[in-house]
Amino acid sequence: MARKKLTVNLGNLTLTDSEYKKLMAAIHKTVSGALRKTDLPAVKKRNNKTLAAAATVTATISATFKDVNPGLSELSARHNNVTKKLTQSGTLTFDGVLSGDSIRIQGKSLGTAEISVDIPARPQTKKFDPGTFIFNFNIN
Amino acid sequence: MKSRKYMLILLLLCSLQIAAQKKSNDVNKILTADSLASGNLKDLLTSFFQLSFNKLTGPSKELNFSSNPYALIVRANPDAAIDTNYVKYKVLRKFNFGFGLKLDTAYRFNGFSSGIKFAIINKRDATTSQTLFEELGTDQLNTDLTGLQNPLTDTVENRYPRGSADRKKYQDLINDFFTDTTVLFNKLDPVFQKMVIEVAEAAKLKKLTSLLKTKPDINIRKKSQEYFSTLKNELQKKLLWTVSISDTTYKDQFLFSNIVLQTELLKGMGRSKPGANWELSIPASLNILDDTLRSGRDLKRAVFSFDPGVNLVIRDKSNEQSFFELKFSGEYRHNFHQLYPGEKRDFVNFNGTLRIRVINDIWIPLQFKYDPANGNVFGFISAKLNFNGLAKK
Repeated sequence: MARKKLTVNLGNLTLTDSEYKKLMAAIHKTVSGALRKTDLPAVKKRNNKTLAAAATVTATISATFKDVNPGLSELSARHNNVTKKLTQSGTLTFDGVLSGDSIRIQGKSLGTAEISVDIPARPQTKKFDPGTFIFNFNIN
Repeated sequence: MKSRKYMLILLLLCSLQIAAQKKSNDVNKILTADSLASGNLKDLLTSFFQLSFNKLTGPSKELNFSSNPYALIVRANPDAAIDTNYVKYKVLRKFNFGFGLKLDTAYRFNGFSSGIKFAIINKRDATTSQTLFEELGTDQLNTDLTGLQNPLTDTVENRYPRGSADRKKYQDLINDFFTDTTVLFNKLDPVFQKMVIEVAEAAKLKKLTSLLKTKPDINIRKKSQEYFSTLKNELQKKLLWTVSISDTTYKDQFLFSNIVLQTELLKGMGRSKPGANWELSIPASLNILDDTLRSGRDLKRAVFSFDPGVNLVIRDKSNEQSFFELKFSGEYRHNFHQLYPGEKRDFVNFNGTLRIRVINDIWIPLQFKYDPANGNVFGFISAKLNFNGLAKK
């Protein structure tokens, strides 16, 4: 169901900061009390924890190194102060990834490197020639 | 007249090469260990495929194709190049095989040829060098860039709230800064430039800070890869030792008229200077061939040849690719069997090869031989096309 906003027009009333706070508290108390007497469903109390849990996802980073022996490539991925590493082609997963986060990638390889993430990100895949590489997956 | 024509063609190719060099400065080329290899090395051991038209001006011309079995496998199954599979083809990667057609002066068929080559020691392989891997990224600039990523990303994410347009903009600029090879630092957003310098200063990344302040028209991605190119060039001086066997059949019978056993050693010499380096090349071969004085077809003649020389490799300073090579060698030959009338048992020649890289994958070698005993000079022009046959994505 779409949310609707309740607006109270105070006209040309001029209030100080403390008067404004008192008035808003009184309106909130009166309206919420009135809502309890109606048949409207109770509004669930939402805290930051449940909101974060609902919005976070698990991201899988895949790295493919070509034309190089295993062990002669290195990838380090970091998210929320958690760092995971690869030394050959493989995958890494990070839990609790939020929109707006970045997964930080750095490493080196004597072959070519193709690194991708399975959730919407800028970029979603990045290819590198032999050498070092540094970039971020910016989560959309 | 004919030689003048070939000289004119050569001059034209040289001018094409110079034009290509000028153009290459504007193009963002991918430089791999293979593209940095000298033409001399590619003639000795090819990584992918080589098509060559040898001795175009000589009496016996050759059309040859040589390849690496691993290159054919990758052509059929690109997943063979993935590191966990790549390691399984270690032995195959050291092999070259080839086959070709021999042609006479009138370009008529004059026999088949085939051969195999194996690299007993190949310390030039940039894809398997533990030392190269350990040194990669250890220079001060790459260390500073590694140290910049987290504080710079933290600064953007702390300064701009989640979901804001500014956060996206600066997050994307961080990637441009670290990975884009086309954008100069001073062409990036001025606020971002200031932020990078402030963060680098705060993190005490002295090399990076000084570089960004003194040379703001720098592309940091390109600059950071320069050290790797230097390391790869050093690797090209390492030892390569090959052994090979090749044969030629008669034009009218599938029977060997010639078998060549050869070994060659290639090693870089001295300290690499930007733009040039020297290679020591030591080939030795035993040629077993038909004795035409005897009736019938046999392999009764054996000629030993030893042809040590040096190869000067001139590189384009902008991308370190070899584009001009000059090889000088002294050849000693010894005939173990019956001599033909007028033939000497021991024979000395001075040889030279001029190689010009016309465009990226095409080399034109011009070979010349000088016989000091008779004062004769012979010249052969060839064309060699090196290609990997893989679609560039």
